[in-house]
Amino acid sequence: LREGAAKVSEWLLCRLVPGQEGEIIAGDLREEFEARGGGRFWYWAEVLSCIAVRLLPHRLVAPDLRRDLHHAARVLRRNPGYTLTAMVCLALGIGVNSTVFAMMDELFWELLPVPQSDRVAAIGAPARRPLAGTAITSIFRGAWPPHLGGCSPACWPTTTYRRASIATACTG
Amino acid sequence: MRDQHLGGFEQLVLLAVVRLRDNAYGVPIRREIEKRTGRKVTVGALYSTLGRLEAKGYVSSWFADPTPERGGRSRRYFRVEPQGIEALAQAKETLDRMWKGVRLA
Repeated sequence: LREGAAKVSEWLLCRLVPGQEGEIIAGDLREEFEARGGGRFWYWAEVLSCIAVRLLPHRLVAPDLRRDLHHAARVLRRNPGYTLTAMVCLALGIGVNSTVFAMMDELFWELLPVPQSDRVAAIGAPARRPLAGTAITSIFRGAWPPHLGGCSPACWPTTTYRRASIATACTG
Repeated sequence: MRDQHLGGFEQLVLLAVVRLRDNAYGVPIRREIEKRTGRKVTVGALYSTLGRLEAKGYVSSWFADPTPERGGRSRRYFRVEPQGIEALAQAKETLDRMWKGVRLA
């Protein structure tokens, strides 16, 4: 057993097994490992089984998912008030979460629903508030239209506009 | 009466501690049970059972000096208390009564 692995397993035992028992078990395993002349798989299986027994003191066997689900269904059927409260809380939680995420996604993260939305430019003098008093132009395809004069979009700050930016620009 | 009841694995552990006398600590207890029963014993289950037996007052334990082969850690030795002996005797008596007159096959 490498010294690093031994240290990790002994640290786990001492942290997860309460009292002095972690130390005692770590000592037992080290002594037995030396006596056996190896067996890393055996060693780690022992460490993990020891931790599992401590963390799940009510069960000494591997968890049975089918039995657990059956037990959960019976308990829920026996307590309809609790079941209803839990279901309402879960439904509200999931619904509110989805709504907020959808709003945030639409306003701040999704690009504008127009072709080449990365070429949308804002025209107007810079103000104290970003984009205040400006309007969003149409999308420029190809070269900069000569009748607009001034500099080309290359000299504008490169910004990708989203719905929330337009709302600020229009109301600002 | 319920507290006096000994489970199957508890009986094995208590008997191993009785058999080992002054050398009853984790490693030999495990070996003794595995050798005599052919049953694999994990260290977690063993110490869990020993802790329960100690809480019932059937065994007592003490710590020896640290040794280098254990990475500087102590051994925890166990000894059976009179209540443990009494519980073992009662468990055997119960089993004997149940077996009396039973013929398998």
